Amino acid sequence: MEDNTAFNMLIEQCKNGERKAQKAVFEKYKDYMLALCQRYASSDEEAEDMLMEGFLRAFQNIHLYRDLGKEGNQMFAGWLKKVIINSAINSFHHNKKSKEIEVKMPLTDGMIEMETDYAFSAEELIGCMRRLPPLMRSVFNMSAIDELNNEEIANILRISKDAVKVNMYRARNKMKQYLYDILNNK
Amino acid sequence: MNIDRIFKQTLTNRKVNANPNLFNRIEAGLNASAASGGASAATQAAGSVIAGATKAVIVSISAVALAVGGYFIAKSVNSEAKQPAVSTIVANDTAKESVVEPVTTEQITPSAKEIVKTEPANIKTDFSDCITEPDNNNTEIEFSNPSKSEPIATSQNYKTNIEKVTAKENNSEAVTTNSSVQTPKSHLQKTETPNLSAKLQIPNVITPNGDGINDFFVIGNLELYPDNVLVIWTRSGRQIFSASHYQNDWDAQNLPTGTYFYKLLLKTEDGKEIKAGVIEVLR
Repeated sequence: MEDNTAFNMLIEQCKNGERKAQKAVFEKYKDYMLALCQRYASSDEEAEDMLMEGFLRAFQNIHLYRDLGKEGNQMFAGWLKKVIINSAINSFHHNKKSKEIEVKMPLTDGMIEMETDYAFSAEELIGCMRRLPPLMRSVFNMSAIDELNNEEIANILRISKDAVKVNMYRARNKMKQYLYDILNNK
Repeated sequence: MNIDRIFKQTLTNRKVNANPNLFNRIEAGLNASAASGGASAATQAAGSVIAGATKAVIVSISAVALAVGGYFIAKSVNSEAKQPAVSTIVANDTAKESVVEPVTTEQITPSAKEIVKTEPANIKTDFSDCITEPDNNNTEIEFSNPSKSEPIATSQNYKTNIEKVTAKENNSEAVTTNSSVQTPKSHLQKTETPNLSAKLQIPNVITPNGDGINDFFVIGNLELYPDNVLVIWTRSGRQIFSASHYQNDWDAQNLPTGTYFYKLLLKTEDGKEIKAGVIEVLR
């Protein structure tokens, strides 16, 4: 409880643009958010850029964050995460030119199973992630790990819900392939 | 186990040690945005992130347009006496990136900005002066970012390039709200008319479906430049065609529908010339 009050004060200070408070918030979340950015980025450098952009955007728009409830701490983490994901996607949007392509694919929401006892390391999984094309990577990240629903993903990426499903389906298939590649190389 | 869970259990709530010095860059960004002042503060007050972003795009695009216009003036004033007037068309090397990339704001020379700031009314006058000049025959139009070391594409075939510029501008919703962006555009279009006939006519689309219409990539008046080299790439930069003494015979055989980039090297009386552009293949 104590902690939350202090945290809420910190946020208030951030809203007033106090550098010390901003720095404290950055210190608190940087490690977690960098791990998140690494999943979306194609390289570690890009991940740092995303992190920076994301925090910049968050601090610039912190006045829009209002939910100072009992669990302000966690709420803020969620908000920050969304801002950073959005900002990460933005850089990717910038390069996106092509219009939506009509896709005829089985629109199953089906999970893809895999039989293995091997525990993949985070580095291996991130490596797989980076082999995916950017759009698929974003969709897979948002859906599988950040637990956004299809509609939210469609809105953020400005694609249709069907396209989200198709991308998710393809991403899972590719991931399975990549994971087997790792196993076979052991 | 399903694929999603393999990823989720390892990667959720993962932490990586981030360099604390990154905050310095964030701070620099915050300082910069604070310094840019009133405009951004006003948009923030409006209360929507999206509105803010759109505004920023509009501002930056119009800034680029103004600055490019300013650069044009500066150039034409400098060269009025000796050289034909010069304006600017840019095709990026790969033509992949937007011509009016907002990033360029910072790269534009301060002098250009000053001109725009201090004498905004002059833009129109100066432009029309350039256009109505009778000895415009040899005028070469070249839209280049002053900070880039060399313009990548120079073109006498104004039309395609101008259309590209226009299209890009139209894509960004900014244009409709900012008349200053449109001013240079409409003037540029006027300049194209007089000398096109003697120049190359490069199509921007071919339809190689065997119906006899636009089946080949035919460059009009290419016979005026027998010494030429044509190279064509895919969007990913793979070279798929090259020919010296091009015979107007490329039909995108065995290639999928899509966008391709070409570069045409010409040997002219006064040296070499490179033209670059985009060719759309439709079937």
